[in-house]
Amino acid sequence: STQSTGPYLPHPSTMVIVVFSQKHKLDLIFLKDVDLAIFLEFCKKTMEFIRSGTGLGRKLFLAVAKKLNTTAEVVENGIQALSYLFTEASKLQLSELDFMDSLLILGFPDGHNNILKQAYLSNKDKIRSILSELSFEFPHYVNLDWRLDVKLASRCMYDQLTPTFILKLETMEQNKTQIKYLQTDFNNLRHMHQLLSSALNEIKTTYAHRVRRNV
Amino acid sequence: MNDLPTETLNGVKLLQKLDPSQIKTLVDLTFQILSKEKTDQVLLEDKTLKKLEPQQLKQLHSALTSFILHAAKANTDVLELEQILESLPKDKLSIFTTAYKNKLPELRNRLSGLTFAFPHITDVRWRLDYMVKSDTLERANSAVYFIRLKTIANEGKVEHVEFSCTLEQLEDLVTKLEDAGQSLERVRDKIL
Repeated sequence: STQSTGPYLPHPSTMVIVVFSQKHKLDLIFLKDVDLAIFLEFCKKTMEFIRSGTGLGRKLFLAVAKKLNTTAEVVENGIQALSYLFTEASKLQLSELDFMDSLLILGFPDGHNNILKQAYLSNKDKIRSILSELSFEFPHYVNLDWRLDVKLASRCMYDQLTPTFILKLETMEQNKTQIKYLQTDFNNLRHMHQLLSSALNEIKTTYAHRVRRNV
Repeated sequence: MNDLPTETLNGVKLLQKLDPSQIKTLVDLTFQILSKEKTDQVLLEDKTLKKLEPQQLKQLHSALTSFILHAAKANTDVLELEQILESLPKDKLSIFTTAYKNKLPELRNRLSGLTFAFPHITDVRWRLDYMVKSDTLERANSAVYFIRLKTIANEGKVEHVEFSCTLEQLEDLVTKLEDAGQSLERVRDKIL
């Protein structure tokens, strides 16, 4: 038979979707029959879970379990499975279409799928930024507060007039904030400013653009 | 010079017992020892000062050192020095006050650094990286800056402060640094 020269259709194996394990699928079955309002709340709780990690605790699971007439364990497994869906989808940057395709295997009714889609689209970026924080073993910049002090005297010398910039540098590493107090004089401050300004301009050069486009 | 100890003043007054060349040598060497150009060993090795009794030399040198530091601390001018030491003959006194006048700015510079402070930033290094992906994030496609600040702590210990930042965060940092610099210029304009 002759080769088809029709429109290009992506081969199923090159499509990127979220792949669920058996456990994931089993853990989500109980949500199929839940009514839409409660399902929506369940999704919201999942988002909270993603944002705050396991800090939510058993109380939350118990409260939800009561509403759904099931156990805290079932709720916890369900939240973890849904979290997997959202984080994997965010990690892979799935399009709306790919996301919906991923849901097919779960067999949820359309109403449920739409709620999931909405939750994904509106939280995708937030989840990605949380994920990117996880991979950083480097402290990242949060804030710089500054103060101009003038030293008038010290034990060893009276009658001074030395301006000094006191800097409060706030960085964060793995959700832990660190504050460092530093200082500098006017010349070094200027030097720092010039150097970092030119660093900023670096990203706007054609070389950097080319790298970004080609990766 | 309010807090000048009596024994310091009395010690310095002993200068009148020396001849002019001895005074010049002692004064010059004392200033050099203060600025760490020489150690106090030189006092024992110097030919001109060999004629003096070691005990007397030691007393003179330490009194002179203490006197100079007290004077520099309060930015005392030559006139006041001449008043305090008026019992000394003019020619011998002027050897000391001339040297003092010359060395005062440098001395005060050194003294102003003798205090405690936060680690002082002296240099900045930066690097622009492009993150392709990580184990938690496929297709990351983000540019990230790495900044390293070189700081010198009180005892001269060099340390580094490192952090990463995105484009927006670096813009924030640069804006704040610019603000800080301009604040000093504003104050300067107001004073001058």
